[in-house]
Amino acid sequence: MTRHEKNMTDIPHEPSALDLIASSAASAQSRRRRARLTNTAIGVAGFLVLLVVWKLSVDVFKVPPYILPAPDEVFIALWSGIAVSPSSPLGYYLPLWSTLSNALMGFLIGGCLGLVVGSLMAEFRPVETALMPYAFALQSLPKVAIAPLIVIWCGFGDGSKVAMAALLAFFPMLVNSFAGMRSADIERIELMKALSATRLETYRLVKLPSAAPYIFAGLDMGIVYALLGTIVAEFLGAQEGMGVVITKAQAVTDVAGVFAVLVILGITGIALHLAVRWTQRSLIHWVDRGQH
Amino acid sequence: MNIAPTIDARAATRSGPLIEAGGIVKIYPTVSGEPVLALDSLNMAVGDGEFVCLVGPSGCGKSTMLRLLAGLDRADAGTMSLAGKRIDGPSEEVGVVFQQATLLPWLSVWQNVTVPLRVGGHSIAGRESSVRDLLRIAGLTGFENKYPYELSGGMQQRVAIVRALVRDPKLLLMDEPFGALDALTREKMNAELQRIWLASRKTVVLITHSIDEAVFLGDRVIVMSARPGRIIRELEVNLPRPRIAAETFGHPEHIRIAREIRMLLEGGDAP
Repeated sequence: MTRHEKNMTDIPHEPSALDLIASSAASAQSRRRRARLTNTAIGVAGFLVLLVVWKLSVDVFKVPPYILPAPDEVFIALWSGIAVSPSSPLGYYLPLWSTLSNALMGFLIGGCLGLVVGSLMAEFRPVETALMPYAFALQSLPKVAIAPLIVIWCGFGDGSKVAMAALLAFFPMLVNSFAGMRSADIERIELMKALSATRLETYRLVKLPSAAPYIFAGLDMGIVYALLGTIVAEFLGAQEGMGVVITKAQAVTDVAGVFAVLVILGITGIALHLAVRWTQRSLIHWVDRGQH
Repeated sequence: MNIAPTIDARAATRSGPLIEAGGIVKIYPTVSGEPVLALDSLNMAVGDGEFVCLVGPSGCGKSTMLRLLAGLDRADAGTMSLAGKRIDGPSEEVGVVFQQATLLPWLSVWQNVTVPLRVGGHSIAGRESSVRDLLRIAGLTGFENKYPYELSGGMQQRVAIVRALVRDPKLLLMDEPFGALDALTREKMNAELQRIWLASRKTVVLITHSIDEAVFLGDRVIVMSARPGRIIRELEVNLPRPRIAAETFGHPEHIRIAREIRMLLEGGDAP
């Protein structure tokens, strides 16, 4: 009896199904983690190779800094804009805040208007018939070309920046919310009909949530477009903002300074995109899961 | 009684027909331009508290009939009434269960089943406990905060049934509610449905293409012909309740009725 027990502890017990499931889940998790780590490593390595190639080609071909500055010069310019007090007029903080707040304000206005107009078009056929031609016409127009007009109408202040950002954010939201509303499952709409739900109730409970993935795709595009619109409006005349920093650097052929601003804007764009994606993931939990 | 019964008197009698449909014609336009006659002068009556099953081949218009009863479509001719009132649109006296559970994936089970109490001028106030009772009857207690994608197909359909019952309707319409489930789950769901029905005693009209399901569940089975949809026979099912699959399916009465329906649907003349 005691020997038997001893044997039991000595010999590793037969793995049960539960153990197998647990270990396979654990190994799947560690596989995923390893894959993520590998991807990050590849990304970092690629970036370092890019920097080395950039530095070497600038040195070897003796590219003058007013054409293409070396990465270290860009870094110095970048650092000189970052390592200052937030209230310094030489730093990036004030212009970035100006650009960002105008872009976000425009994004908010344009996005909301796009959602409202898109919803109205999806909901009421006459609205669709009346507005669709203009939507198409404006959609195919290079909207940046409207920027000079916007500056004439709204002046050199924040107004024209917000308006330009709103204009650019408006269209992706319009198109996506319209398409999203129309994609709503007909059976779910029928269900609401059988329940004598009002139009607004059907919109709120069925159509808006159905359109949510589309709306977020529109937001994702819209936020980047809003930033673009603000910068373009700043090029045409502004007192502050990242666009102004670029034009000032360009005026004195401080190409490294231009590059530094581009890096900041790139990072800002990625951060805004990630913010939208994160919101989407925490809000739309039901997509991509088996559903009936 | 030698006085002709008035509408009121008829409505007051519990055993009187809850649904009366006469001369129902439904024509559908098609893309090719040739209109299709889906239902042709169909007459039907369903008693209060009765469980009626409609069986027929695909495209026999049984779903059309259900849509008309639900007030989702209008008939081109004929009259239809529910408890003496003309059916001219969706009614709160009718609960509908579709083939797909048609849950809203962005809402939890509790939010899904209470949708009917939050739209169409209804209020959830004071109804929470009756919703909880229904969830308990359907075996969904403890799943209130789950989302539809966390449930099995059978459970999703049970959520849909509870949702159809929360307004306490007189009539429950079901359009092949278990058609999307596997055979074993389906048999289990049939027993569940019978249990829910025995507990609630609603009038049920269930559409199915499963003859066994129809005979197992129905007090009466209505057999429909292929397009244009007509009723070819109505069969009473006199099997004791609660019916249990293991016993009922082997019962001579079940076998006899199922055989008769099969012969009718195969186009042969029933004995």
